[in-house]
Amino acid sequence: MKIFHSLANKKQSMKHKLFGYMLILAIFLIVFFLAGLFLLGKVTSLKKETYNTLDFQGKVFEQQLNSYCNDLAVMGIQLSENTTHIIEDYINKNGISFKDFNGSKKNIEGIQPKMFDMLNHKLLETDCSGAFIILDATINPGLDNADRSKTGIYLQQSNLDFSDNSILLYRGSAEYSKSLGIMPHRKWRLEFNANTFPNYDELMLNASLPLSTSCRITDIITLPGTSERVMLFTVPIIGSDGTVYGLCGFEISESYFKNIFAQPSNIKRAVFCLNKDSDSLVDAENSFSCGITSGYYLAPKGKFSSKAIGKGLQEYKSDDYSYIGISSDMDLHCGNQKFSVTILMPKQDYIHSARYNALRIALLILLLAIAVISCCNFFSRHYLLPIKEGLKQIHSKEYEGANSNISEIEDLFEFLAEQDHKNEIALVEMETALSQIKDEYNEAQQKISRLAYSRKNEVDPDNYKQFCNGIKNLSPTESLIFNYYLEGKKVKEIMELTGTKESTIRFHNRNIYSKLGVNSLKQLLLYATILKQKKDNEQ
Amino acid sequence: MKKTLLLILSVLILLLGLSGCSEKTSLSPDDPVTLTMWHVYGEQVDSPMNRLVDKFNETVGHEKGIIIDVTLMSNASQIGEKLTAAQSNTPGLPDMPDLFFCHAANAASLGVDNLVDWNDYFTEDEIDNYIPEFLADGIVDDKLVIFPVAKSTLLLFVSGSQFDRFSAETGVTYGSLDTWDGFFSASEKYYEWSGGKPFCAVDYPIVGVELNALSKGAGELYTEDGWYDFNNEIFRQSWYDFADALVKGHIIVSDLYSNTQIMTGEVISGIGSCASILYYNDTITYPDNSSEPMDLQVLPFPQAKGGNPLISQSGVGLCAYKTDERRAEAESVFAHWLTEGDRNLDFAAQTGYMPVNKASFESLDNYEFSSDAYKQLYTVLGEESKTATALRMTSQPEYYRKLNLLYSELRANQTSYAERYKSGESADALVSETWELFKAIR
Repeated sequence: MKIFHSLANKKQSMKHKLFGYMLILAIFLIVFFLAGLFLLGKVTSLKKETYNTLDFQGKVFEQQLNSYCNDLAVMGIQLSENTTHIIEDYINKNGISFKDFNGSKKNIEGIQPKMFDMLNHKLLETDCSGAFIILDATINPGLDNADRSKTGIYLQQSNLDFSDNSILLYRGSAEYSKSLGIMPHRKWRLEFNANTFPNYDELMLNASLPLSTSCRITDIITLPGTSERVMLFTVPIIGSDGTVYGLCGFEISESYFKNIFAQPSNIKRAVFCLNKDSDSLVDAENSFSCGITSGYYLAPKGKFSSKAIGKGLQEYKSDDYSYIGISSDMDLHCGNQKFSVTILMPKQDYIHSARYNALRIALLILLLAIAVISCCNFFSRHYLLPIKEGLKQIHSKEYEGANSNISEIEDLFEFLAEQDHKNEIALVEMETALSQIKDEYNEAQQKISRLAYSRKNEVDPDNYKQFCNGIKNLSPTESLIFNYYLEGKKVKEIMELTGTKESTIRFHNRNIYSKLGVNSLKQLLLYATILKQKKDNEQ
Repeated sequence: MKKTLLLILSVLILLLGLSGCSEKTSLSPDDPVTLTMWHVYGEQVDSPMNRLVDKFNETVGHEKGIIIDVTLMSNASQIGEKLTAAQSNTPGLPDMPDLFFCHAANAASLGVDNLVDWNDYFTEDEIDNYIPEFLADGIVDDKLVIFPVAKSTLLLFVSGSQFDRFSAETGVTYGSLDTWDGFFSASEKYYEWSGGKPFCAVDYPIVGVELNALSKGAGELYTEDGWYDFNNEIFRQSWYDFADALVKGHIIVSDLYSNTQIMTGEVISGIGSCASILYYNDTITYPDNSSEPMDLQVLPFPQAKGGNPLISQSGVGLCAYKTDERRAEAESVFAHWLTEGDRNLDFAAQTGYMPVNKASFESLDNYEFSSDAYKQLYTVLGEESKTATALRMTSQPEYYRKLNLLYSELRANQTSYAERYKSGESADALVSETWELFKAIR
């Protein structure tokens, strides 16, 4: 309001005033527009925008993981049931019990081919990097630590080339696998070591029916002899009498996880982590991660600390890297096991986005300011141009018949022209009247002159001479009063003008008459007129 | 007003101009480029190359804005086929990588014009730091499309714990294995001593046949079409020497890599690439699950008695698939980093390869190796480099197709040859049969 007030009161050119008003209007419109966008939720902060993007990506990632684990559970339960069927079929056909596998090369080598074929098929049917069956038995109980050595089969996809069905034998009979054209892994062993199989004792102890509630995901381990980190999806193998025969399941290697879970994203750089036993990314050793499909991937490394930075976002920091991200718990339906997903973007990118946004807003404001100022300037100039032209025409009196294309201005021109016309008529009339007055005045003057001349001849020369001489002898007050008489003032007027009483005026009158040798005011005025006329004639 | 607008525009144009002038490189840590890579170092085991890639990503890559992402690990025998398949967008394979390791023959199949010529990214002074013979391996159609990172040669690996028992009872020593004659004799003795087990699994038997023949003065072994000249009598005799041991079951053509057959106790020695040391298991596991430490011994590649000592020289190198200038610059940064002095030495020393950098090669004598086997390996390599002549293998793609076919045939038949010999068939007849099989390869 103050701005309006000051604009209204400050003496400025019309152009500046209009420019000011238009500028204020434009600023108000922009502010209202932005406020409207904000209220409609169309303007969000970078933090909110980042949170929304990461949250969406996280939900997609979670859904994919859930679906994947469900599929693994289905295939794992089938694998377990099939293995149970093979074992019990072998037991029944050979009239033995499960305990008879322990220490029996014959029985172990007898059952392995059947399991081998089934496991091989399951591996090819399932989305995983490996599949295994581990039985609670060993081929040679006489060896040291034989109670921790477990027979079984562990097959792996030879590499991440899914067009290549080559399989490797990581654990199991190399002789039999080679007969099938399956090469032993470079770090092959005949049996599993329960000490290096993650969570083996716990999984065996807690194995129970129904199988759907006994699916578990092991801790992440580095496969012995390799640098490949894996997590194992396990299902117990339980006989119809409740005997726990062992474990089976699938391997998900870190390379495989990275490959199949790479996420399509419009974020340039992001990392998607599945964390085990924590509600966010704490230690990269307990997480698997993947990147963007056919794009960015850099595995997080080391231990991370996190702190909230607002709007649901967290900052994750390790010794070498900083990320902005979000975490959420997820249930993979594997007992009470705790999992979470963390979606990260490098902090560098977040800062870059913030700077970019600030620059974009600054540029937008600059462009808007330039546009508003230019428009205000342009429109105020063009709007006022005909008015200024009109004023110029009025100044130079060139408006009669002029065309300004503005109806109000043309009306004004018409009005002014009409007024001019009226004024001209009045002027002519006044000049005529003046001329008449002048004529009448001249005529009156002539009459006075004629009268003075005629009266002059009637005046006594001696009295007139005394009158002329007597003027010089008048006192200042008498001269003043004498002049008032000459101006035609009456006694009352002279009393007011001089502030004297009538008796005083009469006193001065007697003196004036005496000094001028006249005996009446009429005679005094006659001699004065003659004197003036004589002076006018002399000039 | 006009002056103000003009001023703002001038400042904007000036800023844009300055930002353009300041770009000396197309790389930026704010907008990193991700390069996918396939390699052959440490498939199935602990990969020194992956550790190097991690180190690069954390250091130079982080500073310059380059991320290397290893999307496939394969082996030198198979990577060529996978690359060709990826180039033709075979479903199931990861996309064609930006960086990969392959042989010159594979590079030729992919098309030299599709590959970055490293000469465009290394100065003459830089190139001068590398061993010329190794560089020559990577030149295809006058372009350096394969940059040497590490080179290999064939060596003889022996399971020391088993050999010691064999040696104690038969008197065969490691020195007996210096020549092919001694090697075949020891193989025969082991076969008898072990009750019919082969002594050695050989990864690339044709290399032994070739070098043995060349040492004895066989001269040119190839015909114009790039396959063997079967009229070369010395070459034929050399084949017969090897085939004789093969048909009698004294040696076998390995399943793919001989080290797997040593770790299962199938054989006690293997001839394979010096780089196979990375893949050796530390124990031998027998079918009854008993095991023993391997005590790996590394011996020189056997030589023809009285002939000129010859060794093979092979090994894949680094290729870059041509995409855009920004990627090429990033690829060049990685290639420089990977092959410079100490890093090349460390990488070679961890993988069993020979370094390609002259300074690294010279530093091998004073290097602290991680185990006795590695120390032995580099002692042998050092001696061989002084006494033997290294020969490059041919780079014709058709040659390797035919060779793989030959190996497949021999693998398929070698058990039956041994059984037939055992059942009384003449070794000469069986050897002739292998020769005919060899000649029939098309």
